[in-house]
Amino acid sequence: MLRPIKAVLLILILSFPSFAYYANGTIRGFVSDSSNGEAIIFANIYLQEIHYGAATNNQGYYVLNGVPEGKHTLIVSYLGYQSKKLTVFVASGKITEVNLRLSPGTIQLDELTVSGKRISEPMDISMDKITSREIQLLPAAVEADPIRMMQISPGVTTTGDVTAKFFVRGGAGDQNAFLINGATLYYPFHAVGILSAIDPEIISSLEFSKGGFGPEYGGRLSSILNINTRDGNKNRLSATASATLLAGKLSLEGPIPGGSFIAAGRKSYYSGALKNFLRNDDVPFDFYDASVKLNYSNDAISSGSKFTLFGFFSGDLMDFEDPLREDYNISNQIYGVSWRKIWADPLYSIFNFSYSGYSADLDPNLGESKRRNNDISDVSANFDFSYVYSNKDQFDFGLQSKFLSTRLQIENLLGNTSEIEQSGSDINLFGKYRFLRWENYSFDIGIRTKLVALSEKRPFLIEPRLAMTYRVIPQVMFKFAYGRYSQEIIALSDENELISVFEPWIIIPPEIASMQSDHLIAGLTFILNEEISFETEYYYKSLINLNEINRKKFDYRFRDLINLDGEAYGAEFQFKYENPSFYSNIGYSLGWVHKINNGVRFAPRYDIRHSFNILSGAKLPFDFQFSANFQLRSGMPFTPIAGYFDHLNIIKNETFFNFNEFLPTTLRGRVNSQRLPYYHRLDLGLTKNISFGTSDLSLGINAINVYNRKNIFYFDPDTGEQINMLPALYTFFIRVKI
Amino acid sequence: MITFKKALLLIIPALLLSCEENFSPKTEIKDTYIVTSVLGTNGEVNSLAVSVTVTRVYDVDGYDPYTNETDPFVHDADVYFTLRGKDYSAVLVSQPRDTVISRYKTREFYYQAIFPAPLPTEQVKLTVITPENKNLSAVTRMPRRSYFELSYPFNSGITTNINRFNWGDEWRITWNTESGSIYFPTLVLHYLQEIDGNTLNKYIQVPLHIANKDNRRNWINPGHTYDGSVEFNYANIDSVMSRISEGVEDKSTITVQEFILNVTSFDPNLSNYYSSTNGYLDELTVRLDQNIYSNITGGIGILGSYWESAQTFNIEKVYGASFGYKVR
Repeated sequence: MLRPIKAVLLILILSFPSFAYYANGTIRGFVSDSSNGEAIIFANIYLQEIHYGAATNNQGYYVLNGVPEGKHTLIVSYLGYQSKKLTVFVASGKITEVNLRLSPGTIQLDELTVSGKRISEPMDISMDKITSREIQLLPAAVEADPIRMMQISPGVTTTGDVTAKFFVRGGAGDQNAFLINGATLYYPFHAVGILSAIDPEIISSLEFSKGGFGPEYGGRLSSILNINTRDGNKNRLSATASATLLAGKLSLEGPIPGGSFIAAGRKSYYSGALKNFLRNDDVPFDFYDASVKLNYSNDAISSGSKFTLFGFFSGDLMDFEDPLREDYNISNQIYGVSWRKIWADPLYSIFNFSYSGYSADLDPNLGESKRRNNDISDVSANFDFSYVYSNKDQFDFGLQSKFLSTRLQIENLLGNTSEIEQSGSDINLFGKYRFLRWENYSFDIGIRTKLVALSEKRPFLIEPRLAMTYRVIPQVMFKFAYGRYSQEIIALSDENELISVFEPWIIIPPEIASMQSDHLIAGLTFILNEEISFETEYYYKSLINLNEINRKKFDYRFRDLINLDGEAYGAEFQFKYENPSFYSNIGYSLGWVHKINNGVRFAPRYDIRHSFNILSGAKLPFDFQFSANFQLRSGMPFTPIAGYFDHLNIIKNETFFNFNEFLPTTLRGRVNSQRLPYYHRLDLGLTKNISFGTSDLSLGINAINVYNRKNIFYFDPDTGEQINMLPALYTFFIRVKI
Repeated sequence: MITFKKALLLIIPALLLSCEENFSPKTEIKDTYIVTSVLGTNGEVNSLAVSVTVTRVYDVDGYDPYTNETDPFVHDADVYFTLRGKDYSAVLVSQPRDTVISRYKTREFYYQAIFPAPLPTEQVKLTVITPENKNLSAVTRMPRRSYFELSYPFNSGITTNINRFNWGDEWRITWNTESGSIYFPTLVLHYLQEIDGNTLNKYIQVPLHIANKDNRRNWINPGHTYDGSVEFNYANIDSVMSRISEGVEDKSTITVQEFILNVTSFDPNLSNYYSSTNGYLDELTVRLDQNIYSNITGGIGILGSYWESAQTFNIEKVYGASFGYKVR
């Protein structure tokens, strides 16, 4: 226990003496949008004379260290903004603050052919940085949805049109972390998963890491979806209203002394818009989500600091009038505060303190449903630091702690009740040294070590994380990553439930071992120019001690959960073409995933062998915008019918039992041993933008599954009826910005 | 990009033509035998006549098993029970079937064995040897008899005119339980009603809850429980007493006889089977591949047992008469 802690401390101590040493100068600052003051993330910062650059982080912050003394030409650019070029004087041993404001527009500098972004970005293996432009391009069946955007990324699969839930490189749905401003969001969905609870209007940046993530992230085996919300307009008060068939949205943002604020909310009003998603079309879906964020900076209080308060709330209520039908009530509440500080040294720190609460309750009323209830209380405090050395190397380190309590009351399908109440602390220390001193090589060497664990049967204390890149030629980068990951909290999701209303979270019980995984990833990135890029990645993932619901728990003698092993591997290819008037993203993935239960190997439903996707969008004359998304993928595994038999149907009458009625039912073959036919679907969208002075009006129409492909969802186990996914449907929306 | 657009022009029409396709979710039929038998007693009989059904897996055209009209019954099986070390063979029995409601138009077949009624906790074994000499077997252990404890004894017959301050609003009945068994409690009012000179035997169950919706009352009867207790609200007993004369002008045509409290206990095998075939999670969840419980070695199906325990309660004369009824 002491050895790893000592090792981490030693690294920290050895690092500190070099904090005060400068051979060259440093340039650092923030890049923001001149129209509203919002941070511009992933913007390119480039020093023309020395061909050295960087990209802004998810706060709009950048730092260029090891810059030789003298005059330099600094170029900053970002797609959709007018590039900026300015002269900067750098003094040895000094930090030069350069805050930059870019104006929206499409004027590009001719000489900006190799950008700074390309130098730092290859470190982020398996990372998708999703922009709001891409989210808005994806034609939506009900609402523009950032989580649906994940589903088109190579290596990401889904089990149907109905749910926004996704599976990354063979990992189960609960192996994906959803972070909103650093706090964990436990139920990121509305309406049994049909759409996500995150309104795209509030998103500033969305980073999606599909594997091999660094030691600053932990607690999940498969992926991290890191969402940062917008700060709000720092220049003027503005309001946005929009409406779709399903819901209405309002947002208000503007400046305050020393900062800005944004408040946004969305509320459903017509659940009939979702009737195509479910077989029973009278479900009274009623949901809301709201977020608020307040930023404040004052150099008189703390130089280089920014304080942020934020809240996120969502709720889903299904309140049937019929007392014989069950009611659902699901809610999330997140409260957070963060303090971002740029220190006098090239040290950058973020302190985050947050509370995330989740509650799900299914009340059967007087019906036959099973009562189920789940509550989570998550209090997290994270201290993250980033130090940039004069030789361009970077050291990231931090302490992340979480106090978690979960409570689950559940009655399973077989009438057995369980009550699980657990709590514990999860304290982790991480360190990552980034060797950026060489022009064509970079290495990330890091560890994440657990000081206090949530679960009892935790497999290991040290999680090594390695990443490297090698620039073969200026346009081609080779990438490699290895990481070890563990997970101590799980959602009890039954993979036999294609649609599930209740997926409770629990800390892994003491009798079950925690899950672990090793990721091995290699890939190549080709960047022909600013507009065209191509990436390919190959991965192998071991899946050890997966926790699954024991579907054969017929009575109290059986365990609720069982441990399984598995593995996943595959290849991914992605081509992107992007300029201000046209966008195209073409992805293909080839993947395998299987699990092993008692020596029997089987594929989970999300084992999709081939997956191909094209998302394209174009600006058309007269302020029209057209988008199209085409998906083609091999069918989901399913358990075939191996015949039929008559089973006893016990009928309870008022005074006696009838043991003489037999009903036909299906005899299932080997689990998930066959596959449904190929899935394919084309969606189209058309948006018209109209400006009235300072106000903007957007009108849009989306056509989903335009050629009405009858993609099979499942066969009803009782009647054999084929149930299809979404039919052809059309939706429209209107958005007003004042 | 022109090439890409051309490719799209070729792909989309091809897809338009491929909206429909033939697909079968079936695999090779798994030849499997299904054995079903449930034996039960209330402890008041000396022997039991127990039926056994032996069937086979079948196939249908299409995917709807309700279209099958060929009885999958297996005729030439050798079936016997073993109790206290002695074998009791079953014979093949046939009887006319109600072909209006049944999918099968032939006579109904089953095997029947007669043997001494087993005592509580006694084990009974069933063995089936198929015409192909395949051996299928299962064992059930009879549940225990239930003994009741009452929160109010009703020594002079059931009435709701009791001191609620002392005895509460609900009549609580508890009984002894066994792990893994489920229990079905019922409280039934038996009464006679004269209609056009004929006397009819009638009964009505006392509900656990009465829910009001759209000016209609929903009577929610007790379901199964793992707990050895049930509570009946006295107001619901009143409601049942009132309900039997709804629409009856002359209430003296009704004679209330008794309330019978009955608890049927299933053995753990039958409990698991009932739960796996009657489980209802909620109406939104879509669940596939649900396992039906089986305890048949060599095949699938169920051998289960149950025990019915009952206690009869008279009705207090004043209470019955307060509704205008005769009381037996």
